[in-house]
Amino acid sequence: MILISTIDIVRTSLGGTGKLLPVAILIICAFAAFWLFPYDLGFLTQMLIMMVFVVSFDLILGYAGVATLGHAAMYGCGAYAAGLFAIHASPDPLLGLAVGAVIGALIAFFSGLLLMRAHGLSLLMLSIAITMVLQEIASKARDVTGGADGLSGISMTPILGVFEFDFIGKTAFWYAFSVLFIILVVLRVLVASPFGLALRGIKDSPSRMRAIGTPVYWRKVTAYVIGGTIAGIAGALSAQITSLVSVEAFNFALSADVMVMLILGGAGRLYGALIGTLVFMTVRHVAASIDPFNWLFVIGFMLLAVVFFLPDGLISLPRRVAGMIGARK
Amino acid sequence: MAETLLELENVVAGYSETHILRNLSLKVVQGERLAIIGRNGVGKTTTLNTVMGLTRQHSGAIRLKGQPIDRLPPHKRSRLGLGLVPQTRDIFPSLTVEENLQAGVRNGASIEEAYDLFPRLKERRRNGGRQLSGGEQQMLAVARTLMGKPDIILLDEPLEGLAPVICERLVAVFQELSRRGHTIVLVEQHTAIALDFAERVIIIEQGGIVFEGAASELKSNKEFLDRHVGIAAPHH
Repeated sequence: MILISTIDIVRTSLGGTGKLLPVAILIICAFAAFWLFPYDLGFLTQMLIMMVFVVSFDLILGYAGVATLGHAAMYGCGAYAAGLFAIHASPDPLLGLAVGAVIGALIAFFSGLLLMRAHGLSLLMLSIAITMVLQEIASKARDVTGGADGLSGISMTPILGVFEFDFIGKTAFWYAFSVLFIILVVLRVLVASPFGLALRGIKDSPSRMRAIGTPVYWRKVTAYVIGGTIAGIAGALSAQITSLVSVEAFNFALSADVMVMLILGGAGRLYGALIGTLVFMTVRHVAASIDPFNWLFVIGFMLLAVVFFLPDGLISLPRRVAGMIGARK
Repeated sequence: MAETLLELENVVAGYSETHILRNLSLKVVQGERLAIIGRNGVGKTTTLNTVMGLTRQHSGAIRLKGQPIDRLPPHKRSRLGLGLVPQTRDIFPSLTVEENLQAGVRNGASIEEAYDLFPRLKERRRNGGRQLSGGEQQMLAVARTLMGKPDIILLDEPLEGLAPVICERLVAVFQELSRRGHTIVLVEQHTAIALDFAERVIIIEQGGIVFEGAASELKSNKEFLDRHVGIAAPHH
C-alpha cells in the first residue's frame, strides 16, 4: 500500500504516465548497452558517472541560469573525500557516496555564499579561481592526497554486502546506473516542485521573482548546494569505481567539458544532459581513436552546429524535424 | 478614520546617484483608491519602485502598517503585503500561464480565484508566457500579483498599449478588487481613466507632489490639469 502511494506521488511529480517514457527509454538503453557492448563497460560506466555530473550542472545552469566554470570543485572534493574515507575509515561504497555528497554540499554552500552574489564575468572568474585554489591545495597536500601522483589504494567492499566489484565492470556499471536513475527521479520531482518553478522564474527574471516575494539569492544558493551535492556524488562514484583520484578532477577543462555537454544536449531539460554526455563522450572516444591530435575539431564543429541550428540542444531535434515536416505538408 | 497602510516621509530616491524623488511624502490609507499622475519622467514609476525596494533610497522613511521597511529587500516587502504589477509586466516566458501564477502563490492563495477574475487566463492556462497577447500578459501580471495576497496593489501603467476593450475589462477588475477591500495605488498616463477610478489623486512633478486631493476636485479644474499633466481636459 505504502509502495503504491509512493509510486503515485512520484508518478504525479514526474508529470503522468506520458512523461515516464524517457525513464523507460533510459532503462531499455542501459540494458541494450550492457548486452551490446560487454567489452566497453568501463567506458560506459565513465559515461554514466559523467551523466550524473552533467545533470547536476543542469540544475544550476539549465534551471537557475547560473553560469559557472568551476563545477569541478565539488566533483573533485567529492572524489577525494570518498577516496580518503574508503582508505582511512570505511570501504563501504554507499557510506562513501554519502561522504562525497556531504563534502560536495559543504563546498557548494561555502563557495555558493560568495558566488551567488556575483554575475556574468565576475561569477565565471570567481568560480574558476575557487577551483584552482582547491586544485592547488590537493596538489600541495601530498601526504594526504598523494599530490600530483594522485590518491591510490582505494578498494571497496561489496555494495550492500552482496554485489562485489568485478574485473569486467558489470557491478560498477549497474551501480553507476542505479545512482544516475535515482538522481534523475529525485531531480525530476524537484524541478516540477514550487522550488523548481522558482528557479525557472529566476532564470527568466530575477528582479520580478524578488518583487513577488522570492528570496532569489537563497534559492540560488540552495540550487547550487543541491547541484554540488550531486557533483560530489559523481566524484565519489568515480573514485570508488576507478580506485584512483588525481588532481585532474579539479581541472578547468572538466568544468568546460561539462558545460559543452550540457549545451550540446540541451540545458534545462535533464534528459538533454544525458544526450549531450552520450554524444560528446562517444564522439570524443571515436574521434580520438581515429585522430588523437585533432579530435577537438569534431567537437568544436558539432558545438557550432548545435548553437546555430539547434539552440535548444540535440534534445529539441525531433521536435524541430517534426515541425519542418509539418510545415512542408 | 481609516488606518494608514503605507507612508512615505521625505523620501529621496533614484537610480545610482541620480535623485528622481525629492523629499516626497505621501500616505495611503486602508481600502482607498489612489491615483498618481503626471507627465512622463516625473517620478511616478520611481515612486512605486522605491516602495518595493527596487531603486536606491538615499534618505527618508517608508513605513508599511507602521513598520519601517526601508532596509528590507524586495522579497520581504512583498511578503509583508506589497504587490507590484510592473509597467514591463515581466511575464516569465518559459513558464505556462498556470506556472506563472503558481510562482506567485503565497499564504494559501487560490489560482481558481484568479481564474474567476480573468476567465481568459483559465482558457490559456497551458500556454507559455511568450504566447500571450499584450492584454493577456497584463491580466496575468495582475493575477500573479494577487497570488501574493497583497494588502496594497501597486499598478504601474497597467493600461499602456492596450486596446480600449481590454482597458475597460481591466478597470472593471480593478474596481472589483477595490470592492473586495483591496487598497490600490494606480500610476496611469490615461488621466481620464485614473480620475474616474480613483477617490484621491496625487500629481507628481520633478520628483515632488504638486497636488493632493479628491479626484472630483481635480476633474473640475481643467486649467490646473493642463498645466501639470499636459492635457486639455479628461475625455472618455
